[in-house]
Amino acid sequence: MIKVIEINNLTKNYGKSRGIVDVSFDVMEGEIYGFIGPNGAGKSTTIRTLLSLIYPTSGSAKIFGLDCVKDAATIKKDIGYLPSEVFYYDGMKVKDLLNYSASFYNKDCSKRIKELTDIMELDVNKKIDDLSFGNKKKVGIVQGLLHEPKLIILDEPTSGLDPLMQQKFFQLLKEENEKGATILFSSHILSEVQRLCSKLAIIKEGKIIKIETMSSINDNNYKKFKVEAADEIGEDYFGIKGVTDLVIKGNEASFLYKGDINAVMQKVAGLKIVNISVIEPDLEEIFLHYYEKEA
Amino acid sequence: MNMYIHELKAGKRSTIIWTVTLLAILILYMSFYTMIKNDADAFVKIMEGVSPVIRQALGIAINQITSPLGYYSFVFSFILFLGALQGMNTGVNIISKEVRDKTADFLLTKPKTRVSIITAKLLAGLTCILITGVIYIIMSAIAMSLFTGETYNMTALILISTTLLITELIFYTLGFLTAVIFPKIKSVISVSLPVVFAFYFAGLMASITGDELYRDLSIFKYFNPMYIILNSSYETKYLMLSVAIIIVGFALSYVIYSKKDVHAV
Repeated sequence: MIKVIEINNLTKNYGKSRGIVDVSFDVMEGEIYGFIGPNGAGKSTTIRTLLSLIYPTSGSAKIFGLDCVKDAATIKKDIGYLPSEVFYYDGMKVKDLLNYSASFYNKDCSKRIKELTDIMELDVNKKIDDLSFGNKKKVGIVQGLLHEPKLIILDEPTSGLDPLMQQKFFQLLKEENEKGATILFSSHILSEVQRLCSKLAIIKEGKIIKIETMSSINDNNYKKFKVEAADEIGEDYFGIKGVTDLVIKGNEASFLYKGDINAVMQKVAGLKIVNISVIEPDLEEIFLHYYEKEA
Repeated sequence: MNMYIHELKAGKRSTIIWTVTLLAILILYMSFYTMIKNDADAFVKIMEGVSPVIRQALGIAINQITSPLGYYSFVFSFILFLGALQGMNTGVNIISKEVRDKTADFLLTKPKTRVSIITAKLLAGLTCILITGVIYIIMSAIAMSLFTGETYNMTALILISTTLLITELIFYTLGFLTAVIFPKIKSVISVSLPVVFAFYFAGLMASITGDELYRDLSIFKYFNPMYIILNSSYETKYLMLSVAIIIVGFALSYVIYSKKDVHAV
């Protein structure tokens, strides 16, 4: 597979303040890559370095095999960027802004602008100053995607979008991904990343602390079991390797389990079951788990 | 080209306002000329009553004040101050507005090099100043013919009026460089007005003391209208100094702008 983003030991200091330290990860072609961490962890610093808005103190970053600093202008022909907050020029109408944005790319974007503004239900004749925050965000989405970029970089993109519009936006991203676009999705809203991404990097205090595929994260993590049996469950019935937080109350047992799923299922099968639930932990819990572990 | 046109559109309103203001002052003051000429002795007497220090500071030459070019030079000193303010404002604004209006992320994530972005901005600002400067030069000749009705040295007039353009260009360079170095400028006028005043003050000091150092520091005194009237040319040293400031200022702006981090809004 082709590496679309290749980051090697990227470090950025703001004077004596920390930015990011030795950040390294690769994003492969066609991936939707999650980049998660709380506010101030270094997500935006990493993204701004990729976009050559700021320059690295050390290390390197490549996009499409080209250096992010030296070849910035060439790289940006195929990048669509949506920041968390969008700001545009005063007095411009939506259509003027979109046409101005399109004028930077040597292609006719008019058809795609029409498609995207229809999807986003955007009135192109309105002045940008008169738009709500959510509608300005829609303008941001359209201007970020109108040139059909090969790489879409999203930095906390859903703030200001109502749930319905978020749904449309995610659908749009999935379609772009199916057409071949690679997506780097930075967020601190973990459910978004869980919903969309196939792989993720977790950043904490400027350092990458975990890189995993979403399936591997789900597989390798604790599952929550709740078992209700017809008869009383013995105190040490589920006392097998991998079981933690075991609580038994009469004929009900709840515990966390990590390990070979067959081993615990064999124990479950030994009971006359009335009800059972096996819950995958959500990313929030996984995220906290990594954060606590690294603390 | 798209960025250049965008910047020109953005600067259109301000250029029109500045140009009209400069022309309005020119026409207003020049319309008084006939009255002053008719009562030349009284006017000279009034001027003689003014402290020599202030006369020197304002560049008033008693023996020339009632001649068309002498009077024009007196009027021109006020116009030059406003022109400097226009130049400084244009330079500061064209760079700092991207940070102030938080549009830098939009522009700098487009497939353009920083050099091409700053070039488009620089040329758009230059165009605005050139438009003001050229219109002013033409209008100054028309106003002189219209309001004085006397013969005068046209070359000297054009040369004096052209110093507005040169002075604007110098202050445009300074404004441009200032905004590149200090991009987080909240209010353009709060930066440009003190800077222009500082140079104006240095100019007053140069006139009062006759100190060459003050003159070198004060852009306002690089082009002495009396010298131009007598010689129909500029002083080479100050013409060269002006060109050097413009070249060095823009070169520094390019280097700094290309390497500067653009921080999140």
